[in-house]
Amino acid sequence: MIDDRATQGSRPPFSNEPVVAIIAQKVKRAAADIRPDQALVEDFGFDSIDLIQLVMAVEQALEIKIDDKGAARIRTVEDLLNVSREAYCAVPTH
Amino acid sequence: MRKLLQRALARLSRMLESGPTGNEAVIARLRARGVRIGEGCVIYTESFSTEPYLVTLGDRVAISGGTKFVTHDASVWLMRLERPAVQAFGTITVGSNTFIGENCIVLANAAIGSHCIIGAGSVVRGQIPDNSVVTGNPASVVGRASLLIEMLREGRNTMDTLTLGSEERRERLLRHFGLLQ
Repeated sequence: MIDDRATQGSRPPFSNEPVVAIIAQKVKRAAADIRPDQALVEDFGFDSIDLIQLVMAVEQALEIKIDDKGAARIRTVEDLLNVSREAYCAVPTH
Repeated sequence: MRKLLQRALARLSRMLESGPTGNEAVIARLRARGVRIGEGCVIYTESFSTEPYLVTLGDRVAISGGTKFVTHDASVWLMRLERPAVQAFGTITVGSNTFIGENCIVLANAAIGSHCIIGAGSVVRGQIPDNSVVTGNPASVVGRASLLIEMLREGRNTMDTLTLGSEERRERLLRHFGLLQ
């Protein structure tokens, strides 16, 4: 999977890896088998509780806060990566 | 005209099933037993334990059928030999705008915050922060209620059908789920 990196001050640049690792762990697959176009509900069988747990796990891992309205529009792995990246880059640096 | 008549009949049928003031009657009975209940609540259970006066509900709380509130801790039974009259109690509070699903058990000393969603079958104890989604036994916080609500708002199975008659709703749901013959 392509690692789209964004520089974020003194924090390490955003990496897809921890987000993909969280998905892989939840769906019990290897991270290499997680593709951006895969749908969380249709391909992995996530329900609404799985989705909010996933968002919470990503927020805790990256120390970010994902906007509720943005999170509600997450359908695919790529959507989750995009909202995570946006939230990560929105965190103010010192 | 025929649809209007069908809708009126469906409404009448629903009223006859549950009584026109079913919820109000339940709330009146619970208040008479001492439960402190805010405004705009919808309550489908009367299982408020032997000390209902220890339960306080905020405004616009919805409680589904089968849910039980337990305001005492009967495990003190184990000290009955040394203290034959022993009992232990705890208050229960539920914040405003909280939804409690079917068949939950809310234990003594539980303090559920406002804007919470308690999943069906949860066994709730301790403090539940505002805006939490809670599931399981023992119940644990799995996420933010505001996020779940946004997801439901976007959900393709979320629809404005509450005011439809049962026949009209049935037809719409069968069509929506592709089950219409």
